[in-house]
Formats: sequence, structure tokens, C-alpha cells
Amino acid sequence: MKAAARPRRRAHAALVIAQRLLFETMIGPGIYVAACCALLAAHALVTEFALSIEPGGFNPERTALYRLVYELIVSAFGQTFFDGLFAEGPFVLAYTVSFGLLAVYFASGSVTRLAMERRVGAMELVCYGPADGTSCLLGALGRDMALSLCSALLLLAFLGVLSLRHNLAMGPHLASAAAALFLLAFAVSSMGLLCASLATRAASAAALFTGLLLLFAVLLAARYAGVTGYARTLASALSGALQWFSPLFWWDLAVRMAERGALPACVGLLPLAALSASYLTAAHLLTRSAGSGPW
Amino acid sequence: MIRTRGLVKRYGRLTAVDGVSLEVLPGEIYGFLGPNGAGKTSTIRMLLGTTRPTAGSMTLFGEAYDHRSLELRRRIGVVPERHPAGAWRWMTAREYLRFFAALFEVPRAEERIGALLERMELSRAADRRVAAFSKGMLQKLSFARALLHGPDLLILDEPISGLDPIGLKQVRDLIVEQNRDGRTVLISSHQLSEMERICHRVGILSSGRLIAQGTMPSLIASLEEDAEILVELERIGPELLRQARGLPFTRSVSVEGTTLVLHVGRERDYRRDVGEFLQGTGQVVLGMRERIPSLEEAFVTITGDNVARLAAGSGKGAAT
Repeated sequence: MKAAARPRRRAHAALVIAQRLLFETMIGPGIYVAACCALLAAHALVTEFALSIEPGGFNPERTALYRLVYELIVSAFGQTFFDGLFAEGPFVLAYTVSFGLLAVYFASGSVTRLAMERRVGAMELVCYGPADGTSCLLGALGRDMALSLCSALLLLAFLGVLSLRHNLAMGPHLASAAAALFLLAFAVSSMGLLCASLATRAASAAALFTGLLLLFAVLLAARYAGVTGYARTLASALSGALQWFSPLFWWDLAVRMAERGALPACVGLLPLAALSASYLTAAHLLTRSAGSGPW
Repeated sequence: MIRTRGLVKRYGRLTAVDGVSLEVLPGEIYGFLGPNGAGKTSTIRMLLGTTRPTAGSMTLFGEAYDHRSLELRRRIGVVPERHPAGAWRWMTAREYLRFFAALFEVPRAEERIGALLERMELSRAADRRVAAFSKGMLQKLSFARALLHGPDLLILDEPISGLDPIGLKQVRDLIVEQNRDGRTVLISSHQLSEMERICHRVGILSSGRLIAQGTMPSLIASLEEDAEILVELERIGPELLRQARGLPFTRSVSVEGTTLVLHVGRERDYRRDVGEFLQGTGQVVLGMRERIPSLEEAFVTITGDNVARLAAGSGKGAAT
């Protein structure tokens, strides 16, 4: 083929595949259940926060939910982190929890679907046409990103309504948190696609993705948590070896740089984007090694 | 249309395809035959670009072809052996075709989809989910998908296996019709009698090697099998048998009821000689016909007894 036409052909195929995956997602009940759970979580975190406000300020002891949140966060990350998180109200936490829930749901859905389609031969049928394994990966990524963008807009609108209802101001940190989380979702989806490229079965792809995500989350928590002794040594050794591959590590770095201003925030997001690109490149090379069909 | 040179595919230590050089000419129906595990599907997957060859080269439509040639694949329609179970079961037949029409950027897609559903007699099932389709209906849907973008080349992998006689006839007619419309067809199948009816040329693959390739008559002619002349008589006595065995052109003679079976060489038609002989003995001939080896017999002979000879000669024994 004329090499110049290949990227256009691939992009077109990815777009068509993404549209099909989106349609498939929208006609199933899963997305609506996940969206309801995310909205309920956001609602609970904002409403309970409003109930936890006293004349003297925010007091997490007033509600059971925030007593639990306080204990969890302070024991893991310390009082300073907790104070910073709620400096602008409950919205950053509410958005992080609800968006994170949806992003993981979308990425895991893509991982299992991709691996399943590859296994049953559906992907091969697509690859008989002007599409290849990379088009399928890009299609799945496109679907995840479109859903993440819609979720972000939906959640921001929902949080806006809640802020008006409870008379709580939404601060500028929410916007930077939303941007960083969107890029995190991109990196997590890319990692999921790499998992789907590596595993041969839907179950093993899902297990690999979930396992890696949990491992990276534990390693991130261990950096802040007050663990001591062997647990700290082990976490430190593992973290030293694996943190470079963890989207959560780079996201955390970006969030901390964001505290210093907009420019450092943008610079902080670059490694996260580079990591996503690395994941996608690895997945592309894996698919290409076998031919243009399901690798 | 398709030309491969020394195509090799190895899976670890197993060589599935071993130096296949085949040629499919424009406008023909080419039958790709071979026993199970002969390497047919591996060869087809390489032709489709979904598997990388270990060695060798391919030319398609006169252009060098490899797995990255997405543009060339737009000119190919593919019907796999079976529609993948569990693939897009939630889609209706129309949605399924719409998806592929979008993928291939088919102009006036709705019109084309409607016409193909009509042609495949699937119009009434157009808005039914693919999950509810029978094997025959899925096969028709596969054909509709393969024809959607008006390909120049159709590659059909075992398209008639497991079809009932009506489905078989429909698919056979469809293949012939598509060929008449100018499409080149590469078809792999075990149904040798069907292949014999529709293919212009065939290639026989055995243990990953293309051991014979050519037109049907040239393949059959390459066999060392005798022709048989079957003569139906009123009665066959021992004297007639003795005389028949003494004829210079008969290699052996047997009797099947009231039919005298003479095994003769295939260097020429001996029916006139047999007729004159029987007339001379005063026999009343009720009927006479010649039975030459079928494609099935050619296939069995070539892939069976003659494999070693043909493979060792690597084409010496192959009809081309």
C-alpha cells in the first residue's frame, strides 16, 4: 500500500470500531449501573460534607461517612494531605472517586472485550478488511476516551448542581484535578490495551490489568502510609523497580507539581502522556509482530 | 491475480506451509484442496495478511503484498469457514452489514445492504439479531459481508462445509454468478465433487507443499490410473470373459452383474474397439460408457500413494 494512505486507513478503521464499541456499550445495562454508582458516590460525598459543616468549619466527626473517610485518609496519607484535599470543599474527592470508578470500569470493559473478540475470531473478521490489530487497539482507546470525556462532563455538571444546592463553592483545583484524572484515565486505558495484547484469554487479560492496577495503587499508598519495618523495605524496593511503569506514580507527581502553579502542572503531566504513548507503542509492536490480524 | 513464491510458515518447529508457489489467474475459480492439516488455512491467512509468512513473497493484483497492505485488502472479500460464534451477537443483520460498510467506506451503503440482503434471501431477517441466525443464515450473511464492497477477489475458506443440499446449491450458484460477474475466486474445500463442478483449476496441498496444480483434465491425465469401459450385456459367459481378457488393449477384466468392466489405458478412447469386438462375438450391447477417474480419485491418489513421489520431484509429477 501506499504508505502515506495507511495511517488514514488505520485512523478510519479505528473510528468505525470505536463507534461500534460505543454503541455496544450504550445498549448494555452496565454503563448505566456504573454511572448511577458514580453519581451516588459523588452525591453522598458532597451531601455528607455539607452535613459535616459546623459554625466553626468542616468537622468530619459529624457524619459516619466522613468519620470513615477521615480515618482512612489520615491514617494512610496524614493530616496535611487531608486538609489539602478538602481545602476547596468535597468536590476534588467526589470527582476523583466517581470518575476513577467509571474510568476503571471503562478500561476493564475494553480489556475483556478486546481479549474476547480476539479469542472468538471476531477481530480476525475485522482484520480481513482494511483494518489491523493496531486499528482495533486504537478503536478501543477511542471508545474509552470518548466515554471518559462524557463522564467528566456529566460529573462536573452534576457536581455543579450539588454545589448550587448546598451552597458550596467549586474551586480551581477541581479543574486541574479533572485534567490530571483525564490523562490518568488515558494512561490506565493504554495500560489495559497492553494487558489485552499480552494475554490470550479475556479472564487472564482482566486479571493482569486488575492485578497491575492494584499493585500500583498499593505501591502509591505505601509511599505515604506510615508502614514500617519489612513492609516498608519491601514496598520501597518494589516501588523503586516498578514506579516508572505506574500511571499512578506519574499522576501523583503531576498532582504535587500542580500545587506549584499551572506551568509545573503541565510539565508534570508530560511523563504521564509519555508513559501512555509507551504502553500504546508496546501494544502496537506486539500486534505487528504477528501480522496485521489478531496477534 | 495472486502469485506466491516459496511461501513458508513455521510455528515453532512445525512447518505448516513449505515453499508454496501458487498462481491464481484473473477471472478463474481456483480450488484449493488438501487433507486436514495440509496448510490450506495457514496459506489463506498469509494471503489475507492476518499472519506473517516466515519466508517467501506474494503478489496481489500485480503489486507486492504484505501484511501491512491495508489498501489492497479493500479489494478482497473473505468468507471464513464459520462465522465466529459470540461475535457481535447483539447486532441485527443490517447493523452488522452497516458496520462493515462503514469500515470499507462503501458508497450508498444502505442501498447496497438492502440489495445484498435481498439477494441472499435475508430481507425478512434483516432486523433480527445475529444470535438467532442458523448456520446457513450466518453463511449467507458472511457472503453478503464479503460482497459488500464489490471486491475483485473472493477468498472462501470451506464455504460449503456443513450446509444442507439447498444451501449448498445456493452457495454454488452464488460463486458461479460472482465469477461470471468478473470476480476471481479462490476457494478451499473438502467437497471434491462440488469443486469438480465449479473450479477451472485446482491446487492440491499436502503436508504444507503444493504437490499438484492445474486444470481438472490435466490433473486427471497426470494420474497413472486406468480408464474403465463398462458394457451392459444380456448375459456374460465364461468364453466371452476369456476372449475379452485376450484383447491386446485390456489390462484386466471383471464382471459386475450383467456389466462387463474392461480396464484399459487412457492413451486413447477404446470404446470403438470394444464395440467391434462385441459385435464379432454376436453379443447384444444394451449400453456402454467410459468411466475416467474423478477429482476425488485424483485427490486420493495424489495425496495418498503418490505423495512421496510427487513431493520428491517437487512438481515433476505435478500437472501445471
